[in-house]
Amino acid sequence: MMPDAALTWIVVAALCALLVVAALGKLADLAKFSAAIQGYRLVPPGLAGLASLALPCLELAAAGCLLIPSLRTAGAWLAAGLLASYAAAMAINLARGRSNLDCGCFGPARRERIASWMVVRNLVLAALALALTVPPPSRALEALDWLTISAGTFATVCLYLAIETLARNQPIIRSARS
Amino acid sequence: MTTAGWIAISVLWILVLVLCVALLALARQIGVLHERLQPVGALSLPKGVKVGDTAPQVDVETVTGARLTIGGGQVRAADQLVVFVSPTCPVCKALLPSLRAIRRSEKSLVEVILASDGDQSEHVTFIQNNSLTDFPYVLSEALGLAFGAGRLPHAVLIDRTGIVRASGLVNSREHLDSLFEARDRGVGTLQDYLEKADAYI
Repeated sequence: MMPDAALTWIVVAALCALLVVAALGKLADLAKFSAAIQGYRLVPPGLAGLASLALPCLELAAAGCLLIPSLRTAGAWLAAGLLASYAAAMAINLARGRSNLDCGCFGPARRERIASWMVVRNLVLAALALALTVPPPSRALEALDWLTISAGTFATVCLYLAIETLARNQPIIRSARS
Repeated sequence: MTTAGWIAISVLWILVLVLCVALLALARQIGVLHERLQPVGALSLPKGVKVGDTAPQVDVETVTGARLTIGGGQVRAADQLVVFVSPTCPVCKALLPSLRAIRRSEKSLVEVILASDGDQSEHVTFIQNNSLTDFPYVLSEALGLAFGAGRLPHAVLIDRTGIVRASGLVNSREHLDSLFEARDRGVGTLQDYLEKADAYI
């Protein structure tokens, strides 16, 4: 559970942004995303096409529910479930030793390979979503709260992108050193 | 909330946001710098063709559908400069302005042909983004194999009689220009030049 309503809004807005960007990236090229799902070798090939449409739709639904306070708990469970199952899918394939497959995370256009830091990332995001399932103590939001929420969301998104970029640079830097 | 409190919090937020943006920019720059610093690799002699040999004839079609014959023994009006590029190769992008300049300045003397392989849509975007519509742009794996284009950007200069005059990895404008110099002086590759360097000094 989140300690305060303003903090809840920051997490909600940032998670929504993440889910919407991820869903749009996947919907942009369904055929390739379906191939990425098949690459995971977790769903029967016949169902990959269906899953490639269902997953981004579920992401959009989760984002929409999070934004509506009365549906927030449901949206939070859905988002946490999606993020945790992505983490599980990547962890299973990493354990199988198959790291050379397209993550599909933000759509196949990114052409990212799965890696262990992504499992950690998804678990952290799932934990954040899980924290939203219990509503915070209610409190009237004032003007200063909206400054906190808007600036806080922007800062969170920037930091998320920065951390992700640094994590993506990691293998390049490692290979340059050796 | 007092005015002082508001100002303090606003200033702090501005600083935090600027720092976040700066951090993101720095993180991205590390990636870009690495791309720039990417080693072009050792200059290796292409397996496909030897300088001085007749270029193998490869019939290809450009992305716009025009038919084109590269190499072959026949005599043509102009030399052919085939440059193998890829949308994902940063050094190739750096070479594009030079290729445009060569196309303009040596139009009657040399026909510049860009070659690559892979997914057509990716290349069409590449052509549009870099305004390469004036160049014949060929997608052919056979061409790359015939001329041994392993490392990119790889350039092959075929003179008007169909003889390969220079072939190899090029990574700068100077390097590209030197292909023409090499043709005039009869030096095919960098190794060739280094071996005979004493004779030129």
